[in-house]
Amino acid sequence: MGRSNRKQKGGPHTKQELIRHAGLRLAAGNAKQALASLRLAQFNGVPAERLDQLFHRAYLARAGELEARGLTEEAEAARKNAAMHGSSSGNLEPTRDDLLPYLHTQPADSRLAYYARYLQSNNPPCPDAEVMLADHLVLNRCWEQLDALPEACPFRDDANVVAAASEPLDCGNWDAGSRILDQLPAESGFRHWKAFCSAMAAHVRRDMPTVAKDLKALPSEFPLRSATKALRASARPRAAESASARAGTERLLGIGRLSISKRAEAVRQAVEGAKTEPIVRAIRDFATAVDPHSPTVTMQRLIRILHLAVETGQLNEDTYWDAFSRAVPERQSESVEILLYCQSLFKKPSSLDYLTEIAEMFPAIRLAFPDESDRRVARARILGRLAEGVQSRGTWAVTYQDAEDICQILGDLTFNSVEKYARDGLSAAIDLMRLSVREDPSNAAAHKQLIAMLESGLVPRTSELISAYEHYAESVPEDPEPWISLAELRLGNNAYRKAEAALEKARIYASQDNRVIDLMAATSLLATKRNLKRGRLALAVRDLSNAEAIASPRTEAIVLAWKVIASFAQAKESSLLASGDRLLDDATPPMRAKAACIVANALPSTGGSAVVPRTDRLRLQNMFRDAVRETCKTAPADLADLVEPMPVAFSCVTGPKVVPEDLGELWDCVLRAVPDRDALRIFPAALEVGALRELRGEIARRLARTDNSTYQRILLLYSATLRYLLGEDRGAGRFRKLVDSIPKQELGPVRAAADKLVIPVAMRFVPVLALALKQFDFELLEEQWGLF
Amino acid sequence: MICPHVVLGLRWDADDAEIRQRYLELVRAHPPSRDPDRFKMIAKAYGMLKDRAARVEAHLFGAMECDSFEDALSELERTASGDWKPPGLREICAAEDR
Repeated sequence: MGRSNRKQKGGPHTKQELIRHAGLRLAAGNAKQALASLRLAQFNGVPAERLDQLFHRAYLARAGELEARGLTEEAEAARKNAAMHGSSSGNLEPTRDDLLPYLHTQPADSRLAYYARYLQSNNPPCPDAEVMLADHLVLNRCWEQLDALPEACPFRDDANVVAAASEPLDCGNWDAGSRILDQLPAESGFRHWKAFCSAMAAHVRRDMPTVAKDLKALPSEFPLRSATKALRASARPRAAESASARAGTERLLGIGRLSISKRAEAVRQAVEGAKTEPIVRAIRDFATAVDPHSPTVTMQRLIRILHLAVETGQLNEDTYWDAFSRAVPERQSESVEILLYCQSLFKKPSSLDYLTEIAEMFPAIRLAFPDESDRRVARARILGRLAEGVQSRGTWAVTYQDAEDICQILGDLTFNSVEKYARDGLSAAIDLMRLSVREDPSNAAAHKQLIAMLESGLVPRTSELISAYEHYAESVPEDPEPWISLAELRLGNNAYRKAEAALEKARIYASQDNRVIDLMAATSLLATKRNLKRGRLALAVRDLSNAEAIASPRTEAIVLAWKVIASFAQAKESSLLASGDRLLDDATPPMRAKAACIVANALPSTGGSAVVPRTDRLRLQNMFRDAVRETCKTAPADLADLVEPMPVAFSCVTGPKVVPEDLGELWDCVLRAVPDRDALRIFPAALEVGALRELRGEIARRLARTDNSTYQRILLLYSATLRYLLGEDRGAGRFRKLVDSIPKQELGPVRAAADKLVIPVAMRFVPVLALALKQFDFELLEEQWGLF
Repeated sequence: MICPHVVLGLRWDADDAEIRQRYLELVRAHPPSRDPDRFKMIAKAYGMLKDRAARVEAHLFGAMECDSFEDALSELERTASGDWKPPGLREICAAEDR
C-alpha cells in the first residue's frame, strides 16, 4: 500500500508523463533516474522505437557518470547498451548533450558522418567533439571523410589547412609546416596539433623556452603522449635525466644531442687542462649522455681512446693513468688495461718488439674475456692480425732469439720451425693463420685469408691449398665457395672423381651458380674424353649430351669441339673433317676458332685408333686462322673472350693455354683489333706466350691516341715491363717515374694491373721484376745484384 | 667505430635477437634510397654486433680505427647525435603506436 502511495505521490502517472519526466531528469544531469523513468514507461507499454533515442542518451550520460567515478567496466556496459539503442535510433537527430558520449562509443570511421548529421540539424559546432575528430583525422589521415561535412563548416576549412601542412610535417620540415598551421584560429579543433608542431619546430632550432611554452597548451589526453613527455623533459634539462619517456622516442626526437656536443667540448677542454679530476668528470658526463643505458662500458672505451692523446703527447702519461684508475672500477681495470695494451701494440707495428709483445699479451686475454668461447674467438682474431702483420712486414722476428721466444709463448709452433720462420715470413704468417683458423674454425674470413696467403707465394702450394679448402668446407659447410674452388683445383689436377664429389656438395648449396654449372659441364666432358679414350662410344655420347644440356656461352665452344671429336670417332671415316666440318661451319667465327683450336690440341691425347690425316690438321689450322681473322674484322668485341686463357679447371678438356699459344703471327692482328676496354684482359696472355714485340708496338700505338690518364699509366707500366723483358732498359728509372706520377685515386687500378703481370713475368724467368711488380716496389730492381 | 651499440641505440649487452630486431627497425626507417649515409652507419654497426664473434672483435679492435683522440671523440659525438634528422609527423605517430 505504501509503495503504491509513494508512486502516486511523487511519480508521473501517464505514459506521456513518464517520457517527459525522463527527458527532464536527463537534462538535469540525473541519468540514473532518467533510466528508471524510461524503464517504467517501457513497462507500461510505450513502443520501443519511441524510447530508443532517450534510452540511448540516458545510457551515454550514465556511462559518463560511471566513468567519472572510476567504474570503467560498468561504464563500458552502459555504452554497449547505448550503442544497442543507438543502432535502432540511427535516424533520430543527435543533440549536443549526447554528441560527445555518442562519438566515444562509435568506431572512428563513422564519427565524422555523425558529426555532420549533428551539424545539419542546425546544432552549434561542438569544440570538444572537433578536438576529438581532429585527433582522428591527423592520426589516420582520412581526409576524404571530410566530404561528409557541410561546405561552410569552419572545421572543414581548418582540416584542409592541416592537410596542406601534412606534407612538410611528414618530411620533418617543422618550420614550413608550422607556418601553414599559423592560419588556424586559436579556437580551432586542431589547436593542439598546431601547438605540438610549433613545439617541434622550436625543438629543432633548439629554442627550449618556446618548446616549454607550446607544450603548456597541450592537454594531458593529447595522443602523442610519449613524444610530448620527452619534449617536456628536454625543455627542462634538470628533469631530463630522470625522465621516464621511452628511450626510442627520445632518440627519434634527437633529445640529448645538444648536451652531447656540450659535453664533448667539456672533455676536450679537460684534456687540454690536463687535470685528472676534471677529465674523469667530463668523461663520465659524456659517457652518460652518449649511452644512458650502459655508461660504464662507454666510459671504458673513452678511457681507451684517451690513450691516443697520450701517444700524440697531448696528455701526460701519469695524468692518464691517474684518470684511468679513478674512472675504471678496480675489478675491471685489468681487462681494460689488456685491451688497451692490445690496441696500442697493433696501432704501432713499427716497434721492434711488436710481435714479441703481442705474443706476451696473448695468455692475458682471459682477463678481458671470461667466457671460454669468447676467449677462443679473441685468440683467433689476435693470431689473425698477427699473421697479417707478419705477412705485411715480410719477416717473422727481429732475431733468432725473438722467434724462439714467440714460439714458446704461443706454445703451438714447434721449436724446429723457428729457423724456417726467421727466414721466411710468409710461412710464419701462414702457420699463424692456421692457428687462428684452428681456434675459430667458423670464421670464413680467416679461411679465405689463409687461402689468399697460400696463393700469394710465387711457388704454388697446391696440396696445402687443397687441405685448406677441405678444412674450410668442413668447418663452414653451408658456404659453397670452398666446394667450388676444391672442384676447380681437383679438375685442374685431373682428379675427376674427387672433383665430382666436391661438385656434388657445391650443387647442394649453389645449384644455380654459373661456376657450378660450368664445372658440371667440364666434368661431363672429362668423362666423354675418358670414354672416348677407352673406346666406349655409347657412354661418351651420353656424357657429351649431358654436357650439351647444361652448356653456357662460356663452355659451348668446348662442347662443340668434343662433338666434332666424338663424331669423328663414331663415323669411322678416314677424314676427321668429313664428319666435323658441318658442325664447325654452322658456328660463329669466334666459336669456330676456339673449337678448332681445342680439337687440334685435344686429338693427340684422345688416343684410341684414330689417326688424324696431315691434310685434316692443316685444314683445322687454316680454319682456326680464318676464323680468328674474321673475328678481328667482324666481331672485335668477342676477341677478349676468344683469347683470354680458359680457367685452369677446363685445361683437362681443352689442353693448357688453348688459343693464346696457337695464335702465333696472328697476335699482331688480334692486338690491333681488340677494343681499348678489353685490351687489358688479353695483354697479360700476349706477354705470357712471348708476343713481346707485337705487344710493345701495339702499346706504343695506343699510348699515342689515349687521353684516359689511368689507362695511360697502365700502358706505361706495360711499356716499362716490356722494355725490361726485352733488355732495352734494365733500370728502375721508368718505373720510379711512373710510380711518382700516379695520383692516390689511380693507384688501385695500376696496382691491380701490376698484379696481373706478376705470373706472366715470373714465367719469363725474371723473378726480380715479378717480385717488384708484386710488391709494387721497383727499388728492388736497383738492388738485384745486392740480393745475389 | 668505437660504440656500435650506441648507433643502434641498444644496451651494450643486448642479445642477437634484440640486435637483429633493432637493426631491421632502423633499416626500415632509414632505407638506403632515402638516407644512404645513415644506412651505411647502421649496416656497419650491425656488422660489428651481429654475432658473438663480431662483438668480440669489435671489443678488441673497435677503438683502433681512429688515428687520434680528437678523431675518436668526434666520431663518438657524431655517432651519438650528429646525423640526427628531424623526424616527420607520421614517423612520430607511428612510434607512438609502437
